[in-house]
Amino acid sequence: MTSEWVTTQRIAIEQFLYREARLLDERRLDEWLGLFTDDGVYWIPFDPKDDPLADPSILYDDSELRFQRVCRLQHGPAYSQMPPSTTLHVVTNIEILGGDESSCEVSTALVVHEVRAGDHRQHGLGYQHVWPARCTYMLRRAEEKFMIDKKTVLLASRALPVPNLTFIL
Amino acid sequence: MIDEATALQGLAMDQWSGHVREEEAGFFVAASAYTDSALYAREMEQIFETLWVYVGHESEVRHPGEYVTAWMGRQPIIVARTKDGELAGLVNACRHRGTVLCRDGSGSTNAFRCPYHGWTYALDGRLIGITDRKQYPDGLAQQLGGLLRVPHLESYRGLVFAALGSSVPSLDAYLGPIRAHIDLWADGSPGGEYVLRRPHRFRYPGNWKYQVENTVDGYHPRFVHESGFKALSQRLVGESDDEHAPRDLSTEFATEHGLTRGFSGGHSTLERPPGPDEPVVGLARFAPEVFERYSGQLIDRHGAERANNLRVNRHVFIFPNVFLMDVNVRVVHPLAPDLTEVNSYFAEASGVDAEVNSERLLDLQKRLGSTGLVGPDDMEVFARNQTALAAGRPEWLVFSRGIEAEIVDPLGEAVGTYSSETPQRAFWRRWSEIVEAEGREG
Repeated sequence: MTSEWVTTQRIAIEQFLYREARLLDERRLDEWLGLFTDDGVYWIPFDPKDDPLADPSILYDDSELRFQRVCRLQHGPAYSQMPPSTTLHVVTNIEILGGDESSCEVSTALVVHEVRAGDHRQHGLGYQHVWPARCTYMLRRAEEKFMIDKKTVLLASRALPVPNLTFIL
Repeated sequence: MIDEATALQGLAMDQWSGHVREEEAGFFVAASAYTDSALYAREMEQIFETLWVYVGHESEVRHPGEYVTAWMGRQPIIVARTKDGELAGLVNACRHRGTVLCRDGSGSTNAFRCPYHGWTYALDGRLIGITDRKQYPDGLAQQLGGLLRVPHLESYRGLVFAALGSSVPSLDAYLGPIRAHIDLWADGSPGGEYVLRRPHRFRYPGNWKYQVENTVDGYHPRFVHESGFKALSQRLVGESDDEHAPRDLSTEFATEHGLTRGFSGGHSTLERPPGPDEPVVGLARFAPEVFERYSGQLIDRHGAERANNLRVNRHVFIFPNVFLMDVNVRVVHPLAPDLTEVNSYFAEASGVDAEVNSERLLDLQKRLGSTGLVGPDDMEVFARNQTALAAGRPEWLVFSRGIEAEIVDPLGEAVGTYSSETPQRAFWRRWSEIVEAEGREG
C-alpha cells in the first residue's frame, strides 16, 4: 500500500462511510443493504478473535439474515421498534489500515446516539442511549465503487446487558 | 379485645394473602403481585433467599480453583471448585467488615483475598489468613471458621442448584416430576453433556414474573412474533434451495399443536413435536445430511422412540426462575419490582458435528437476545404491562385459558393444550403457597 494510494482513496472512503451512516439515520435500509457484497457480513462480536460460527456473538448477519432483519423493520409489526429509534451515527477517527486497488481495511470510531420517544413516561420508552464502538470494515472496490465485505462493530458495552438493539448500528 | 400482637398478625396475613384467586369463574392474579415493593422483598426472602435456585453449571467450574459468582435473590455468592474437586457455595462477603471478595463474573484462583485488610480464604471458604493476627483476641479465626457457606448445594445433570434456607427438601424432592423432563433436555446432547457458553444478557423495565410466564406461553407467539416469523420465512431473491428453506413459523404457530404441563412444585413444560419428516430438532433446522447424522446419534444412544421425543421443541421450567430451552439455558434475575435481567446461555452439545452446534447457535442468536428478530418484541410487552399496572388497574388479571380441557392426574400433574395457561396456573399456585404462607418455610 503506497501513501499515494491512501491519499487518493482517503476522501472516497470517508465519504462512503459517512453516507452509510446517513442512510441508516434516514432509515433508507434497502439502500444500506445494497452497500454489502453478496457474502457481506455484519458482525457485533463479544471478542473480535471469536469464530462467529462457533462462539456466541451479539449479532452475526449474513446476507439473508440482514435482508430478513430489514424486512421485519419495514413490514412489521416490529413492536420493539414501535415507535422506532431515532439515531445519529457519528463516524470519526477514520484510519486506512491497509489494502490495494481492490480492497482495503478501515478502522473507525463509531458513536451512535439513539433516542426512543413515543409516550415517554411509559416503561421502556423515553430513553436516550449512547453506543460507542470501534468499527472495522473490509471494503471491496469495483468499478469506482466501494462495497462492504465485512462490518465488525466492537461495542464498548459488550460485557454489559445489551439494551434493545433492534435498529442497525 | 384483641391484643396488639394478634391484630398485627392479622394485618400481616392480609398483606400477604389474596393475590391469587382460583374459583368457579376462573383463575385470577392481582396486579399488585407485579408492582408492590413489600411483596417483592418478601419474594426475595421467601423464594430466592430460602429455596432451591439455579446458581450455575458444572461446565463453568470444571477444574479446581475455578469459580463463578452468582446471585440468590439479593445475596451475592461464589460457586467454587475446591482442591478436592467438590463444589462449594460461599457467601461473597468477608467475615471482617463485609467487603465483597469477588468482582469478576468468573475466574480461577488459589484463594480469595479481601482487598480491604488482606484477610484470605481457601476455595472451600476456610479463613486461612488474618493480616497481623496478633492484634485480635486469640482464637478469632477458629471462632469465625471462614466464609459463610451456602447450606445446600447440589447438581443434577450439570445444573447446579443452591438453597439458603436452613431446612429445605432435598433437591430430588424439590424437582420431583420435572426431573424426567430435565433428563429429556440433557439427553439431547449425544456426547452426554452440554457446555454452557458466554451468555447473552439483556434487561427489561418490568417484573420478573412476566418473563417466567411468557417463556411457557404457547398462546402469544403468533401475535407478538408476527413480524419476526414473517421475516424469518423470507428468502433472498434467487434462493431456491428447498433443502435450506427456512421454516414458516407463522403458519406453524397459528395451529394448536403440542401440549403444556403444570406440576405442583410450580414447574412446567411447553412442548411442541416437529413433523416426522422434518430435519428439525427443537426449532433449529438442519441440512439433510447433518440431520441424518445427528438424529442417528440420538437413536444409537437412546433408541428411536426416545430420540423422537428428544426432537420436541421443549421449554422446561424449574421454579422459580430457570428454563431449559432447545439450545439454551435461560435464567431470569429479579433486580427490582420493575426491573429484570435475563441471561441466556447457549448450550453447546458434545459429541456432534461442528455444523450441528453452528446451526443451533445461529438459530438461537437470530431469534433471541437483544438483536433477535423474535425475543425483543416480548420485552416491549413486559414494559407495557408494567406501565399499565402501576396503579393497580385492572385489579385482576386472567389466567383461565384451557381450564376446562385440562386433565389433572392423581399426582397433581396438569396437562393442557399448547396455548393453555396450565404452566402459569402451576406457577401462581406454588407462588401463593410460599409467599402467602403463614410463617417462614425453612
